[in-house]
Amino acid sequence: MNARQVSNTVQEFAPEVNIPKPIKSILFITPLSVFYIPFLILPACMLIGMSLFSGSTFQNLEYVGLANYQYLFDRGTIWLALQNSLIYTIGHTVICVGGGLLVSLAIMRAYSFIQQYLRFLYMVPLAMMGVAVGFIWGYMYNPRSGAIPALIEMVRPDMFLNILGNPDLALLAIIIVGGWRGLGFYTTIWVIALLNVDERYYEAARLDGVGAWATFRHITLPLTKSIGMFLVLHSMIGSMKMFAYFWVLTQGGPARATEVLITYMYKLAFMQNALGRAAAVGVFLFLAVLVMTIGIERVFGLEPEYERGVQ
Amino acid sequence: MSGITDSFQEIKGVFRTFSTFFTTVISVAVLAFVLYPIVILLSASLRTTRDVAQNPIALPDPTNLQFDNYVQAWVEGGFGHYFMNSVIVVMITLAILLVICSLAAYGLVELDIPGSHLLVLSVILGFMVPAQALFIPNFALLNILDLLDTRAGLILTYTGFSIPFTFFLIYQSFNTLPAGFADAARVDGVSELTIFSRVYVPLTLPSIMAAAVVQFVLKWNEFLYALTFITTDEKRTIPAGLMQFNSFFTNEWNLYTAGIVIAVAPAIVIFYFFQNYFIEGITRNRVDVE
Repeated sequence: MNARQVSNTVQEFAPEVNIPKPIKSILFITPLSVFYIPFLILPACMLIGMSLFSGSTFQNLEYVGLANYQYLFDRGTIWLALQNSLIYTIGHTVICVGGGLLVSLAIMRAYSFIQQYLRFLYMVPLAMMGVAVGFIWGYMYNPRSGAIPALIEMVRPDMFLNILGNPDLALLAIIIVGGWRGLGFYTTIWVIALLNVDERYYEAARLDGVGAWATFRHITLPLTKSIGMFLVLHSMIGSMKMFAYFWVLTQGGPARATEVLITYMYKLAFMQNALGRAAAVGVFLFLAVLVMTIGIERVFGLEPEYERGVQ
Repeated sequence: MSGITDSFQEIKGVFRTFSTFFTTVISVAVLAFVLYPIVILLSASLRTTRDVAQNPIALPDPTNLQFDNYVQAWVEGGFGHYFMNSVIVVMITLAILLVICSLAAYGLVELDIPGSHLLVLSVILGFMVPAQALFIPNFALLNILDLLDTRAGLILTYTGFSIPFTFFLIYQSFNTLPAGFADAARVDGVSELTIFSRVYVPLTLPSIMAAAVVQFVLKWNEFLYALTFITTDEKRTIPAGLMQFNSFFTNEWNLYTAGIVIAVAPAIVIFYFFQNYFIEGITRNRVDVE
């Protein structure tokens, strides 16, 4: 059916209403604005505003300037939380994007089989809610009944491991949880990107006698660079915002070993009733994500792009 | 001569078989890592409390599967109403989102709205603001509007922070349609709303579906807002309910794992049927704004 036929068939249904065009066009964007302005633009402005006030309820608000930020920097917990967030982010990105690339290179040949039967299973954890993932791994790590301590006990019977209660291991344990959730998905995206590279480039390289590493370095990497940047960005920003497993598994403990920006923000807001300070942490989170986004784009040296993607 | 070629072919064949074998081993190993916790979860949810307490990681006895655990989680654990609340909140959010975003995308692509570039830019800038950073001001806002502890409050805030993603995906796909389509219809005097609903929406349905699937999964799983904005148990959605459930059935791992299975099942089912849309939605929606 072409456009003209469509318009002929729909004409009967459409009574002519004479609304001046500018008003008509504004009517199309009004519904979006009705939600967008009060529930995104306004809160974004309020975030900055609230970070300048103190008070636990809305009756006793008091303008304090930058005192909330001063408090955060004096306490220093914000740096610890930022550091933990960054460690988690880097760990997640190395496991999911880096590990995913290695796995995808290894399984390219097996992929037609996987494509048919296993692709969904690879990606299942990504569809699971973070709270559930947290509980499942809480069960896995449980010192008395979990599978992981049981496995360790098989190798080292003398070791009693309370992994999540150990400040040296807790963050690593949560990085593994995040890796578990993302690895299959990132692998799948990498495989799709690799399959998208035109076979003729490899053919030409083969004819010229180019080695495997050089082929990877000069053909595969440049041609998948854009999807690679997307995956790094997706992984890093997603990790900075992760809250669910941290809250379920450790609530930031033991001894703040797994305190990240969002758990800190949550505690300030709901355990210490310091909404202004919590908002200041929110500003911090926003800036961290912004700097990260711009930084990654600079590192990859890509122009802003809007429409290229996995086909 | 041909003997040498033959044995060379044979070696090559062996090598190929070996590398196929090797890659299959790696893919199965990754799969085992991914599936092991899920198998443990499903096993525990089908066993008795005592059985699980004695041996937490054994497989269930196939002749004695405890499907009753699911009934108990649904009825006594309150999963019945958590589930309904999630369905209500997610479905209404999705409906509002898809309608307002596709209408606006049509307006901005097809109609000359003064300053439309600025509008598009402002929506895209919304990408830069993480929903988690907005949760304190959203909490304050709902408090002012007296919408804390209501499902409506959850729907409004979810809609707000999901707009940039949804809008941009639909806007992009509307942009790829040739302008002639709308012009031809317009010459015939068809109204804009009809062009929108009978030409644009049907032709870009895959992108709209992609947006819907991604948003369904994300909103079904949303935890931070669900945990903090709703305090009455009857109004809780599943992610917050699961947290509550935890303190309710402290040592009954079998009921607790059954609850987890109920909580994750809908998103996994949607994901199974629409996985290509999901991948498309996540990877195509790349916005890089400097």
